[in-house]
Amino acid sequence: MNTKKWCIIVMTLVLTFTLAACSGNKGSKSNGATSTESADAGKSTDPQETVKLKFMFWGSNEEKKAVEGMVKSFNDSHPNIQVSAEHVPGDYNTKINTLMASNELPDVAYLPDSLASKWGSEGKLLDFTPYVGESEELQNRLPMSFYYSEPGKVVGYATAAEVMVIYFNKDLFTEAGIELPPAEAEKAWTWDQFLEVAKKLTKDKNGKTAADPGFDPNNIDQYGFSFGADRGTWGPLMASNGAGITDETGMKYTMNSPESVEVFQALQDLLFKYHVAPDLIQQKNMPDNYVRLQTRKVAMVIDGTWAQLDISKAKLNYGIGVLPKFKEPKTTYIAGASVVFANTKHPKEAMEFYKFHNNPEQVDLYKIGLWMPVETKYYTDPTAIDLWTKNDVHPPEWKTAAMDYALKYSVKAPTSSLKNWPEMNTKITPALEMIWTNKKPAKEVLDGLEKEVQPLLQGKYADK
Amino acid sequence: MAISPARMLVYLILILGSVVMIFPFLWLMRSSLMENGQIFIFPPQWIPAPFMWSNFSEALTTVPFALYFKNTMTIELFAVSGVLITSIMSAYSFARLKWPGRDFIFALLLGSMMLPYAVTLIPTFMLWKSLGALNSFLPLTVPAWFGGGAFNIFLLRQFFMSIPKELDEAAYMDGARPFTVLWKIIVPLAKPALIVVVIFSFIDVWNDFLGPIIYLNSDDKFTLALGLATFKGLYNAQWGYLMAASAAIVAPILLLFFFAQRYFIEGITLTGIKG
Amino acid sequence: MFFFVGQTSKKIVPKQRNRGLIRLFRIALQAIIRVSTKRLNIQQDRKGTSRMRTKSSGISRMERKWGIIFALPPILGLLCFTLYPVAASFFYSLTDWSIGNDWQMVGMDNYKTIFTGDPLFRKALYATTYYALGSVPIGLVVAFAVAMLLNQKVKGLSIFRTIFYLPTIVPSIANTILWLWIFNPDFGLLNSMLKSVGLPTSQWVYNESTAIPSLIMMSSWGVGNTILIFLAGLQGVPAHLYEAVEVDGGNRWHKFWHITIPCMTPTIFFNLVMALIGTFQAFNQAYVMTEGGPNNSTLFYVYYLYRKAFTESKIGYASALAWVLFIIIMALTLIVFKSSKRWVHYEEGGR
Repeated sequence: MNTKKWCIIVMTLVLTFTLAACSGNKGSKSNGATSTESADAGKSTDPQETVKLKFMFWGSNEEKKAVEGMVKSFNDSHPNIQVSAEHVPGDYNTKINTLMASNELPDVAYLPDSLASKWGSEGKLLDFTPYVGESEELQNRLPMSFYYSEPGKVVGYATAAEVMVIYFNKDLFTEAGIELPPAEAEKAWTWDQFLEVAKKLTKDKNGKTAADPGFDPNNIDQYGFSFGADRGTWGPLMASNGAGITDETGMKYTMNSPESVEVFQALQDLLFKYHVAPDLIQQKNMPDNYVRLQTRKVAMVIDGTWAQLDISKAKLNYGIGVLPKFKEPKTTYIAGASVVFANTKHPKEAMEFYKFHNNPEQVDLYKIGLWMPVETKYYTDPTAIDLWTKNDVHPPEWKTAAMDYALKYSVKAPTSSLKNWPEMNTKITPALEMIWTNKKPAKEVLDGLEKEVQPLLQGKYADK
Repeated sequence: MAISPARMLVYLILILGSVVMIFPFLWLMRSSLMENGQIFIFPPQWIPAPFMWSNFSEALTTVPFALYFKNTMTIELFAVSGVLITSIMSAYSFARLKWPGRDFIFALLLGSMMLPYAVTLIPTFMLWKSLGALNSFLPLTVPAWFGGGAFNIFLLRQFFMSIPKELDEAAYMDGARPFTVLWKIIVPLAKPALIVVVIFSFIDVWNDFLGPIIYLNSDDKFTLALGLATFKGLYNAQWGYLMAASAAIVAPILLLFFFAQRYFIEGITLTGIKG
Repeated sequence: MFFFVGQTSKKIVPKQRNRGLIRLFRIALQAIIRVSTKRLNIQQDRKGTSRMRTKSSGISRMERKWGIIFALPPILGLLCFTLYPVAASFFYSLTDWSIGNDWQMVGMDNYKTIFTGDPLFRKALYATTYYALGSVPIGLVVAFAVAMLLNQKVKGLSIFRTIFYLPTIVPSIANTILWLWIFNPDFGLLNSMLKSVGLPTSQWVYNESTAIPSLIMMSSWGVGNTILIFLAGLQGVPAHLYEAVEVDGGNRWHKFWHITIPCMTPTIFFNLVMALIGTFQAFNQAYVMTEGGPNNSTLFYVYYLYRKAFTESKIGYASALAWVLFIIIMALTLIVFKSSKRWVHYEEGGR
């Protein structure tokens, strides 16, 4: 009996203590720094009070510094708003999903494109429509940069503009006496022209090119081309050939259409028929694209315009060109989104910051080559253009190969607007590996993929 | 004294093994002194050209490492001491003291390790949110004071169970209390296991990425593991800096291990007690 | 409602939520106190009648008291930090919750889908089991052998021990780049070595059939922690037992087989259980190195469910996957525990 009593006393004591500690913590919560969202719902914002906003973003150290500089100048110029920048150095998806699930969201944040489309359509993002009406700055943006929850209802924009282009090592072209890749979409190479060039720039150990007889594909010293096996490569080429992952409605799988098969077969042939590009396995051990060019391992690479940051810093005589075309010259627009969450307490102030956060006058990331602006005037108005491109980072051909290309020839990556894309991707990526490793011809793979992907199709998010 | 053939064999195996095992570390060191491009040249080169000593100075200054080090050590202090104290106590209880429901609680503890953290992450986060402890070190340190995790309890329990029970029984007969037995008999005899617990829990905190990234928001609270991650962006990475920072971050663990493992000296523990 | 703190927040203001949480805690704790004291009572009665007031009953009373006090931290930890997340995740597994979306109870539908309509579940389970069956025994044997080696009295022992622990502490990002090179089919270290002695080469992680064996091989590098535990265990083998064997004229082999192994069984048992739990939750290699490829051959179970939860935001389904894995690991651990009575030797009276 004694033990029993004793135990009860101890346990009760400990439990009371624990609970007291817990509730004590809770009491202090309201003056904690983390409670922007969870502040008492009843209180309305006093206009005199400083509004506190949280802004969550990802990126390297360089981006972090630029973004923090932007936030500082915003806070300095807006004494009534105090933005705190929260940098997430990795696992962004895990963090933002956790925050969404537990309703602890920041006010403004970067979001991966498919998540922005998903949460936009689920009503989790602030409806920008009233703000768009009164702001030319928000109206005149690249059409590909808009995110909609339903037709006509804007819920966010891409943070920046990024399109896929070709980067190349000029020296390798000059030495081989080959004309440089065109920098204007109107003059884009056809696939066959491109293939011929790639062959001439692929060399084996004996100096023979892939176009010469007696070429030794087992001892290649320099490749004509290299491409990532992801949507950044096959996306724009499919668009150029009029093909898509699905039809217009997003309800029917079309990756096995003749146009789509043609693209994937052409890529597979680059690897295993013509040997002008390193395959998936070889690429795993290859450095970043700019190093491949710099070390003369590869003559041309396909990459996003974001690569300008690294490439412009490399000791490399590089050039930028447009992608080869199948039917029409086309590229895809791939970029993460910036959004305001619907449950922000201060939508007006959040929008104020939103307009500021990727304004080329405020952020350095345009001048250093990482971003292109989303506002159209930066592509058409000469003074606005100079503001971000008149520097050593952006070569003369930037105007046509990146800017005009983005403005007139880019389409939103279908992967941003397809519902359930992340799950479809878990079927598509492994299947495409069969193509990239030459296990099966493209047609067989893409036909076989239909029965796996078709059941996952759920249509498209609004894109107008 | 001549070395016996068996001895020779032991040395041979040890040296061969060392060559294999030191590989990743040499790789890290050479990469940390290379330019971005050279790290990836294939076939690999082992001698940096040029030697990029600046990788270290750059890496350690672009990120506020002193601050991150201080934060990490603060967490270490509270977490490791919590783990050590509470896991010793509870492991002793599970190994030595009979009480109703003991095995059931132990099974629950083990069971708690079997559910992937990915699905308990969100509710755990909600819990800390409701306690108002987000963006603080509390979620990273307080749980350590509640037993220090099933792994450590189980580990110590195994070690405590292989200590002869007559030792404590004799002490009890002399009127000792369990706390005295634990402190005077068990802890001295299980020193190697305690050192293992310290090393493991130290390294766990040191390398923990997910906890800090989820619970910490403001970067003046960040830890070294988060600082390391900032060298890798979405599209690009400063490989040279990343490797240099990695090498710098590994160094303290290396030292800790080097000094801690000295306590593993064969036969020191039990000889002379029973015999 | 309670589990979806974030999702249903429109109606409930935060403070009330917190209060609900406390109330639930309090109720749970009270229930547990009641149950445990009742059990105490019964035990007390039973023992009280059989053993009268002897010294040993005094000890057992003391053990009971101090046992619970000493075990309070993990007991409270279970209540405070484990109970709710575990219960919540089970609750999620009965819903179709996709983060950001409204949710509905779907009963056992997620589980039904797992077993009937999810080919990736089978692939993931196969890959994980294959990996576990390979890496657990190999890891244990390698670690034990190395620990024996590192327990010799040799010069430079500290250095050797530190070197053997190195692969465990080198950051995974550096390790990954290294291993991608080691495994490279064209100019990788392994194939160059095989070629130089005229053996056939392999595609290693780049081929569906050799990917998992390659990862198993790679895992046997990183067994530093297991080595360390074995090493600590070896310190506890009483020297007088070895001396006894020597007196009886036994050799090294006798010592190893009749003293070292039996004395080490508690440690081996621990490492076995932990290796099982750990390898069935293997994640990192898939996450940083293979991304589940080629063709999902290295799609580790936890990597698969992590992707479901945080790339596809399907937390309901991911929770169901987690609970299936939980049952599997639980069953395996139970088998090992049951078997342990036959082969694990504790000091007499230890159990």
